[in-house]
Amino acid sequence: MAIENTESQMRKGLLELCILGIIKKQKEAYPSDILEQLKEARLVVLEGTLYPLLTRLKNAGVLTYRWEESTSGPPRKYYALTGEGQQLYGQLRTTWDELSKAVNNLTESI
Amino acid sequence: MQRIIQINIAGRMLPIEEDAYQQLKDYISALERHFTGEDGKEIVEDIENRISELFTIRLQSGSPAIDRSDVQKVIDTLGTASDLNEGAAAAAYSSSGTSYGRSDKYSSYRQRSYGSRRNRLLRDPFNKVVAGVCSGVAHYFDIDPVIIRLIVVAISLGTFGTGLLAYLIAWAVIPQARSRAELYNEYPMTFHDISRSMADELQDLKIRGEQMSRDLRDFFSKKR
Repeated sequence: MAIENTESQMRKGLLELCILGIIKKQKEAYPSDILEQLKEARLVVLEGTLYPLLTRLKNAGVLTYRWEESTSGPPRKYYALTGEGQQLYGQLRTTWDELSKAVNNLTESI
Repeated sequence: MQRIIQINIAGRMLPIEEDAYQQLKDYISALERHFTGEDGKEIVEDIENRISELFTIRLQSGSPAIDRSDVQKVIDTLGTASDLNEGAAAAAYSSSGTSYGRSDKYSSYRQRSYGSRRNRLLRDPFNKVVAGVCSGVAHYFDIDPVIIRLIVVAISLGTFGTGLLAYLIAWAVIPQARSRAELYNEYPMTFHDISRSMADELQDLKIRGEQMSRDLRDFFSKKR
């Protein structure tokens, strides 16, 4: 029980960075698309955690979205990074780079 | 044999077996109870949209209607209401150390939603017999809920039912734990203690009132 908890905490902690990264790479992305990319990259998360996270990021001014009508179903929300979003991504990315380097250094020699 | 019902979910009309419909309805209700307010509405809409998408894919593979196993698979994929709260809280924890332009607004928005760290008396909706009052009290004192239940029953009988009144008051007053993490006091260490404003408390009381009437309805409909 404890290890799944730690592992899931690790994944959830990085989720924001990954989501921002996906949106940044594609300029715009809708939720199912983001989930697809996460799956392809083998980042395992409960899909449901995405939606409150996206809404929270939008409320904090990190993301914006626009609706796009689709012929093959209901309209879709396309999310994009704001200026703050770009900044946040940069900071998270730096933190991750530093952190992963540190952890790799520590665990390499074990 | 199953009756098939048509549902309109996120703008799509889909056929679903009656049993599965009930299961789906319970799931969505749990989500609605969990995600409140304007944001909550938006989040639940997004999730319904995703459910609708997953169901459509399932139907396209030749199945005539959505059944219980389909609904269960969707719930497993998306996560239950309590799973999603832990997820959100944990995601909040990981970035609480970040500072950037509007960090105050961002982090206080999260902290207001997820409360403080002290050991709180909450009702336990995951281990409840009636309303989770006894389970919640048991968690608070770290005793077996069975013992608390025996005490409550003994008191109720001994005082000719007045004890039941105390139970009902406790039901109304004690808030319901929104996730397992809250029950076991597993909040991450970096949250700050923030005292909630009067408005938050009132809003919480209102929600609990609504929750309580829903619990009552559920309890009595189960007896049928």
